[in-house]
Amino acid sequence: MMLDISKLVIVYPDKTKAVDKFSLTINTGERIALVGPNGAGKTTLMLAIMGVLPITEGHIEIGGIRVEKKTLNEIRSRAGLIFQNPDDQLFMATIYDDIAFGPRNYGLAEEDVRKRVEQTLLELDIIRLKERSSLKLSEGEKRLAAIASVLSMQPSVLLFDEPTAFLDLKARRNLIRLLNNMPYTKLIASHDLTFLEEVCGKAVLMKDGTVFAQGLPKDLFHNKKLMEDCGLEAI
Amino acid sequence: MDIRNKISAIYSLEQLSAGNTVVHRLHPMSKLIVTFVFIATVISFGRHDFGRLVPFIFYPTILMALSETPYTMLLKRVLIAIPFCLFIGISNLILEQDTAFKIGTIDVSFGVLSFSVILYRVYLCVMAVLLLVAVTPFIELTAQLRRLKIPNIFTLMFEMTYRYIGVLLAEAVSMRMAYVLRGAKAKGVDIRHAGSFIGCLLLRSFARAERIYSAMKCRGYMIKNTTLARKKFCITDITYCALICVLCLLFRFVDVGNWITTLVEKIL
Repeated sequence: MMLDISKLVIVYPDKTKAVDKFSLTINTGERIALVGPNGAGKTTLMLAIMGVLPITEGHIEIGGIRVEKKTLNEIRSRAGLIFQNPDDQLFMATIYDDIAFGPRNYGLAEEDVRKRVEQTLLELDIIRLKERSSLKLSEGEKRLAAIASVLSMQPSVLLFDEPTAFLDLKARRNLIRLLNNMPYTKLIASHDLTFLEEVCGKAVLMKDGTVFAQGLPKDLFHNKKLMEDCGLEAI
Repeated sequence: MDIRNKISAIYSLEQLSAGNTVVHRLHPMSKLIVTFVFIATVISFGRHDFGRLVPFIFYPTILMALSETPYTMLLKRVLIAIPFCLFIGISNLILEQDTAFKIGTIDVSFGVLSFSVILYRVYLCVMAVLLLVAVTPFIELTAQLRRLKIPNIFTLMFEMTYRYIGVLLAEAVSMRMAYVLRGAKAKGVDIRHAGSFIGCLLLRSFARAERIYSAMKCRGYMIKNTTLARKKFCITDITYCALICVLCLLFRFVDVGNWITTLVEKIL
C-alpha cells in the first residue's frame, strides 16, 4: 500500500478535535476523492499527512515510512501537497525558481535542478511560463505552476486541496485531462462532485473529522439521503 | 497601477538575477564578500573626504555594465533612500559654514562638503547592495549568509520579511477595496476604523504567512537547510574578489582622489 492512515486523531491547541479516529488505506496508483462539508477536517488531514501538523494519536505511513519528526525529509520527498490557493504556493520571483525550490532544498546540483524544472514544465506544457512572475499569471496558469512546483520533487503521492477552486470551465477541463493522465497515487479533497466523479475511482465522505462513508463516487454522490446526512448536497 | 504590477515592481530587481552574464555566473559568496569590503571601505572615510571617495564610482559603474543591469531601475530605488540622508545631512549645511575650498570664485563650506559626502556615500552603498540583489538569486544570498554562520534566526527573518512584503501589500489592497466598495471614504481609511483595519490586516497577513510557510515546509524547506547552491569557488571568483578588494584598499590608503581634485582644480 502507498498511504496508510490508522486511527488518526488531530487535536488543535484550543482542544478542537479536527480529525477523530480517521482510518484510510490507499494503494499504489489509486485516486481517492475526499469529500466533506466545510470544517470536516479535510485540509487538516492533508497537512498532517505532510507532517506540518502534529499527530495527537494514531499514525500515518507513506510507502512504509511512518510520518514523524525524524522522517519528515523523506516523507516530503515522497508526498506532495497542492494547496487550495496557488498564491500560497508560488512565492519566488519567477516560476522557474518556484519549481526549483523543492529540488534545491533537497541539495540537488544546479544542473540537475535545471533538468528537473524543464522536464516538469514540458510535462505540463507550460514552458512559456518559465521566466514569468506568478503575479502576472491567470488562475489556470497558476494552478499548473503550483502542480509543477510539487511534481519537480518527483513524489509518489499527490494530495490536492480544492484543485478546481478559482478555475474557469476551460482550465477545469484541462485539469481533469491532466489528472487523468498522471500515473501518481492521488488523494483529492474537493466540493466539486462532478469533477471528482471524472477523476477518482473511489470516494470517502468525511464528517466531523471521521470517515462517514466510502465507496464508488457514483454510488455516494447520487445518494440524496446519505449526502444530506453528511451535510452535503447530492448531484 | 494594478496591485500585481506594484508587487511585481518590488521583486523586479530579483528577477534580473536570473541573467547569465559573467557577473551572474560568479560564486554568490565572492559577490557577498566584495560588497561587504566595498561598503566597509566606503564608510571608513572621514566626513570631509569627498575627493577620496570619488574613485569608488568604478565599482557600481563596471558591475552595472558587465551585468547589463538597467541604470534607471537602480536609480529609482536609490532615490527612495535619498530623503533620509537629506534629513540627516541638512544640519551640516547650517552648522559647518567655514570655507573648505573655492571653486573659481564660489566658496565651498565644510557643511556642503560633508553633506555631499553623506549623499555620495549613501548612493555608493545602496547601489552596491542593489547590484548584489540584481545579480544574485535571493535564495543563494541567504544560503551564503548561513554559511557565514550568521544566526539562523536573522537569515530566516530576512527571508520571511522579504517574502511577506508582497503578502502584506496584497492583503492591504484587497481589504481597502472591500472597504471603499461598501460606501466608506474613497480616500484612505477613516480614523475611526483604522485600528480594527490594521489589526485585521495583521491577522490576515499572519494567517496567509502561515499557509505560505506550510507550503515551503512541504517542499523540504528547513530553517537549518544549507545545502543550496553548492557551486565551487573557482579561479574567476578568487580573481574577482582579489581585484576589487585590492582596488578598494588602494583607493582607501593611496590618495587617488587628491590627484583627481588637483587635476580638476588645475583645469578650473
